[in-house]
Amino acid sequence: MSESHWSDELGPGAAHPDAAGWVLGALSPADAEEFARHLQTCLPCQDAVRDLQPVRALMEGAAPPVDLPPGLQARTLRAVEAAAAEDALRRRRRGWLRALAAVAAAMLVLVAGGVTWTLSGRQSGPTVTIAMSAPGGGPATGRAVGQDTPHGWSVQLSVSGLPPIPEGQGHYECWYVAPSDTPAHPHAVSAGSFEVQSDGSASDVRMWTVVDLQQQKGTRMIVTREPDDDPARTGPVVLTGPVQAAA
Amino acid sequence: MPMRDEDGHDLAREEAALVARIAAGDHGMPVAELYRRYAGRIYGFTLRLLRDPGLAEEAVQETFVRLWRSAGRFDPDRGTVGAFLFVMARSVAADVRKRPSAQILAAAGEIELPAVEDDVDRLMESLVVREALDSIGAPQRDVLSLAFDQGMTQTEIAERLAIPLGTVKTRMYHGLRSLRVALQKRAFDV
Repeated sequence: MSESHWSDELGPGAAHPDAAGWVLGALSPADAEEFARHLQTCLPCQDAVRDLQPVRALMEGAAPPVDLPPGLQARTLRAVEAAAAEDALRRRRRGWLRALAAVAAAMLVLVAGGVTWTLSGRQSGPTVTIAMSAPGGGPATGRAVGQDTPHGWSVQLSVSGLPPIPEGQGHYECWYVAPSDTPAHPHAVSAGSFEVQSDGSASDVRMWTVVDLQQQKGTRMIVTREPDDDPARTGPVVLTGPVQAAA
Repeated sequence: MPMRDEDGHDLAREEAALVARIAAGDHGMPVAELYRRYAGRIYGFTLRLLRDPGLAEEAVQETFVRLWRSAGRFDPDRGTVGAFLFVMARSVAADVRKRPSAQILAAAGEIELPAVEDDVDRLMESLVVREALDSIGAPQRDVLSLAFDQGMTQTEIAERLAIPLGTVKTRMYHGLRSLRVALQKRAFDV
């Protein structure tokens, strides 16, 4: 155990290699006796032993080695792929259901509107405009025009610069938000959900609402990115703008 | 005993980016890469909780399916990808334990009651130490293992491996130091 022996291998000032064997209790009795004497006067070895002892303590708690079962990786990745396919299918089905519901609602509105039109003879009324931008800045913008019709407010929305959302990963949702809306007491009505094309745009998305957009002063329109079909507003706001009477 | 170093931050950022890609709809490479990094620990974790290799396999698969479906909810400001995965794995193990197949084993006393928080933390720590050990070079790891697991002296190890005693000493020294670094990279303050 000469000094030159370990200095050559471990570098000048390095601890003696037996520091590790000492910590692990793996030295022969003769080497252990010699190292114990050496340790009393060697500062680098005292430092090394102090550094390595906690490592040994952790080794005592190491879990036994575990081999992953063969084929588990392939089975797991297949399970994820199947889940992705299932999510995509479910999303397409939901899209169809939404489309059917929209058609049914439109037919109902047409019938009801026709009746109202006949009874009141009213023409379409005032319009509002909404110019939206991203709350934290950014390229996304939106514009909507709302018109009071005999069968409620019709709103046509166009957006651009929104990142497309992959299938099964959520959707954009448009809301009318009252001035009294707070996180603790939400006061918002969903106007409808929509998707954007691969270039981040959506044009002339038609929505209907019973909210009187002209009477509700301070109402804002916002667009959120919702992660799932939870009807509550949970996603981040990506566009926001005030509802204003058209000039 | 957390210790955030540059390596830890880089790893956290890199893994958060993988989860972001999964959230954006990529169920290929990012899932495979996180499987490569975590499947061993998750399998060991669920195996210890469920005490059945078949159920543990089921739990690993389900954990990665949940990762796919919940990736959008991962918030890097609230924790690491590893913590996110182990919270899911623990929840999956609890669900798997309720399944009829697991109930048969539970009735036979082969599945333990749910582990308390401290036990789970200790279990995770032991798995991370094992992973750190597995990450160091095989020649150094073999020497450490013969000394630590089998209680062999350096002379006996030299005979067993048919290598010079000096080589055993330096492999043991470098092995223990490498293990220390590997543990530090895994947030152990040693």
